[in-house]
Amino acid sequence: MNKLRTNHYIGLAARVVLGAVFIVASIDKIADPSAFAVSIDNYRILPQGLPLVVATVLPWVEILCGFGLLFGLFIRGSSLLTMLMLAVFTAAVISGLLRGLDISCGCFTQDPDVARIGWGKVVENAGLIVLSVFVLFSTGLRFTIEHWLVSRNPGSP
Amino acid sequence: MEPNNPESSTGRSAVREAMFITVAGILLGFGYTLVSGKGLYSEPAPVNLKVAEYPPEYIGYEETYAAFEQGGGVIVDSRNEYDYELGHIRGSINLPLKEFEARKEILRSWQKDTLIITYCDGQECNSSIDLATKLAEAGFTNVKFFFGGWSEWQEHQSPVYDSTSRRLVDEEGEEQ
Repeated sequence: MNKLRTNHYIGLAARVVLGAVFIVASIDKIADPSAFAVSIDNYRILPQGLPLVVATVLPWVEILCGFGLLFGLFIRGSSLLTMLMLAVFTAAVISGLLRGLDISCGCFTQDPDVARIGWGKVVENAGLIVLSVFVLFSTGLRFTIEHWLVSRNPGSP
Repeated sequence: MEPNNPESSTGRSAVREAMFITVAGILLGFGYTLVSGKGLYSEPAPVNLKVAEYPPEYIGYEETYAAFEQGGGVIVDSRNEYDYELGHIRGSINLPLKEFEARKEILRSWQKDTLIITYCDGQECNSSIDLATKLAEAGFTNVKFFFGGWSEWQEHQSPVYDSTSRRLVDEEGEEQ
C-alpha cells in the first residue's frame, strides 16, 4: 500500500483522472448557472434561493480543484474538497433515490432528459471518493508544480 | 515530531488550501456571473403579459374519468413520446410540452370550446399545467389539467393503452 502511495506515476494518473472529471463536470455548470440551479433544486433539499448561490460558486470550486489536481498545485486542498463535494453529491443522490425522485443528475450535463440519477452514480462517486482519499495521502508528487517549486527553492518548506 | 515533517502538516495544509480554493471559487463565481450577467445576476425573464381569458382549471380523477367515459373532449398526454409509447390513458393523444410549437398544427382540428384535459406523470411533474397554460393562451376556453396524471389513472386501474404488451386494457384487466 505504501508503495502505491509513494509511486509518482500512480499519483500522476490518479490526479489526472480526478482532475479531468472535475473539469469536465464544471464546464456545463459554469456555462449555465441557472440550469444548474434547477438541477440542484430538483433534489428538493436546499431552501428556495440557495440553489442559485450554490450554482454560482460550486462549479468554480470544481474547476479550480480540477486544474489544481491536473497540474499539481494545492493538491491536498483540492483532493480534500473533491472528497467532501463527492460525499455531499452522493448523499444527495442517495436521498433522491430513496425518496423515489426521477430526476436528472445534473452532474455532467444540465440537459433534463439525460443522465437520470441511479445507483450506478452512487458507485461511480464512491470510486471517485476513494481516488480523492488516495490523492490526499499520496506522496508520489514528482510530476507536480508543487514539486517543481520546492526543487527550485530547496530552502523553502 | 519533526518541525518540517510533511506528513504531520498534511492535514493543516489541506484545510488551509481548501479554504483558499473555496474563497477563490466564491470570488470567481460571483465575479463571473456579475460580469457575464448569468445566473444570479441574469435579467429577470420577461413577464408574459398575455394572460389567458379562460385560465386552465384543476380537475380531479372522478371528473377526468367522467369526461373519458362521455367522450367529446380530448385528453392530451404532455409527457415525452417514449413515456407515452410505454403506456397512456386510452384514447389520449401525445403532445409533449417541448414539442408544442413544432406540433401546433394539431390544435387546428379542435374547436376553441373543446374540453381539453392535459396530464403528465402525476404530482411530480408540471408539464400538464404548463401545456394547459399554453393551450389556454392559444385561445382554448375549456382547458383543464388532471394533476394526478398517469400515476393516479393507473392506481384506479382505469383503461389504458399498454404498449409493453401492445394491447388495450380496461378496468377488469381484460384485453380488448
